[in-house]
Amino acid sequence: MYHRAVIEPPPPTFEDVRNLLSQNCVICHVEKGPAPFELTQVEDYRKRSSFIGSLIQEDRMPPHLSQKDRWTDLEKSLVLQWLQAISSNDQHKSVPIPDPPKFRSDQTFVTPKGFTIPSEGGERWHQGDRDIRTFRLAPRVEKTLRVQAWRFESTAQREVESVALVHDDGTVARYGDLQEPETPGYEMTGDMGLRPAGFLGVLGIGNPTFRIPTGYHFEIPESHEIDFELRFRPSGLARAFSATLDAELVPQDHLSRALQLVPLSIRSWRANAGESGTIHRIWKSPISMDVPLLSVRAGRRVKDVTLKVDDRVVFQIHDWDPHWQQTWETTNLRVAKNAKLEAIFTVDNSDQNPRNPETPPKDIQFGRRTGALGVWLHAAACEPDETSSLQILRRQMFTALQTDGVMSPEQTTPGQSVLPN
Amino acid sequence: MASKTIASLILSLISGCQALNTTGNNIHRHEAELPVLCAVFLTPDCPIANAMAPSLRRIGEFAQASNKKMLLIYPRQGLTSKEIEHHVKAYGLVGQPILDPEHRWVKALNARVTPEAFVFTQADDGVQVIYQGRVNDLFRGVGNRQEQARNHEFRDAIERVNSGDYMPRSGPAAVGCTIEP
Ligand code: HEC
Repeated sequence: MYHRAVIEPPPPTFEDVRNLLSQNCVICHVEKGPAPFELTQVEDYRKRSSFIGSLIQEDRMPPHLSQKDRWTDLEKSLVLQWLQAISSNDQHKSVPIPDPPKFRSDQTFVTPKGFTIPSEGGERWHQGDRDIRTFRLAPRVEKTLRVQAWRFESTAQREVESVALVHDDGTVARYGDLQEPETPGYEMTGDMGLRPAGFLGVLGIGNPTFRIPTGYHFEIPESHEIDFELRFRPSGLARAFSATLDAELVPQDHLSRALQLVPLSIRSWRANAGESGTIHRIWKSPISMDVPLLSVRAGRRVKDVTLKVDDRVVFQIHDWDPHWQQTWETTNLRVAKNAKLEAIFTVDNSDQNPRNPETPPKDIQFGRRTGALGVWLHAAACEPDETSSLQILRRQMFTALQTDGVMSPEQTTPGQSVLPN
Repeated sequence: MASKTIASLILSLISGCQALNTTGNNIHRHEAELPVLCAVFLTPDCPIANAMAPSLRRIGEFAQASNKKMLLIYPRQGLTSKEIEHHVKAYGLVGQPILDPEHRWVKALNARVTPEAFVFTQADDGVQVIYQGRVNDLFRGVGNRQEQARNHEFRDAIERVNSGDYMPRSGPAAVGCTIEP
């Protein structure tokens, strides 16, 4: 008879987890990072081991920015096992701090000084989802800029949740001033579809340095200004806010395509208390286009956000959390002419949705000129002569949006293409 | 809720608690003598507890104004009184800080997270816990933050005691950073 030995795999060592921790925790939990404390020493994990363990188990940390950023079950169990029995040999080791992303600052824009992020949230006239404030950056753009990468830095890294960047000829960003006279404005993207203005992406906790894939850029016309909508979360300490936005430009002799906004938006939607379901926006692309990036607008009643192309899921965020907004990179998404695009928002206005601000739930209705819900594609036409079509398209999509009815869960708009022949 | 034996245990902790040896201007010698109205468990770097600091400061000020005190109990091992002093000062907290590295308070009160709140009354046979639970509903869960707190159970419990209602009630469970064993 053979003696059957039970082979127990040895518990993971620090060396087994250090890269995971470095790339997926330290990247934010570092001095001057966006997270509330450092996780750069083994001791930083040890003294919080059960708390960290529960967050990893619940998929709270690392934060779920998009589906592909989540840890696999294997990665989770490796780190969980390590946390349960951190060896005393490792107590004084440190987790490597990843190199900051490469970036060359070609131009710097600055916010005016004078705003202090309050120590706690306040009541707002617009009943908006987040604490919000808008800023106009200086200087104005002298000649057309082709932006390859952004870097956002502020005096309030731990309070800043996201900045949504737009460029504007100086008229659009004033929308909202009247409602809230003490601030520079709230909804600066108000008429962006119709006026000479454009969306330049969202920088969030996960991408304060944001590189647009090579071959594409955000374009800012001459004499425009850059504005942003800041979303912040008060940390208990009042914090004087000022920020810089640095741009790395596409070298002059490089070929690159400007990204245009293609908004798959729902202007207005409603749901009864307790109601849940899906809201769809279907649209047939009249041209072929590359979509290297996309942004999402959705609030607390939204559970999942999905983008399908010809019924195939190309992007999805489960358990959508409006705290973690940003612009995401797609995996080289190319949309063929006449392809069916479908943005799907799974909404839940019941008490099953832990993020529902109303307990018990209430009947709700939201509307916004640029869309209360949206999957916003940053697209470039595949054929060079169709670039201007995309601009026309954006305007038409926004105009069409204004006549949209109020949608309810489960309802689908008929697919339509609005490009002129 | 605390049973009778726990009630006397808490009484002994409360009467035995010494003010931190601190130069922070929030803590005066005479404060150690004041009757304890309430307590909250804290860690200096818990973002959930810190986000509620303005509410906690108001509660501490209220206690002080009524000649009582709030205990600020720090259960993390290895914390120094200097670190605590710095935290209290930075966030403007008002109350008596207590180091609890051996978890005597944690065990007596069965606290699980920071911030977890307690309201006491002094009864003949000891101290009664008349509220245990969350400070408010700013966080519905870890990672589930609201714009503003809408329900302030800790404050409400203090108001009840003040108006002479000593009925023990648990609040909704506190949400926060796990107190490590
Ligand atoms: C993309 C940036 C980012 C990454 C990556 C990240 N964190 Fe965090 N973490 C944050 C932020 C921001 C907060 C504060 C949350 C808040 O204020 O609501 C936080 C909070 C926490 C908290 C406190 C609980 C809470 O919700 O406030 C713990 C513990 C934590 N992180 C652990 C980790 C661990 C462990 C990892 C790696 C597995 C990790 N984090 C990766 C940004 C990050």
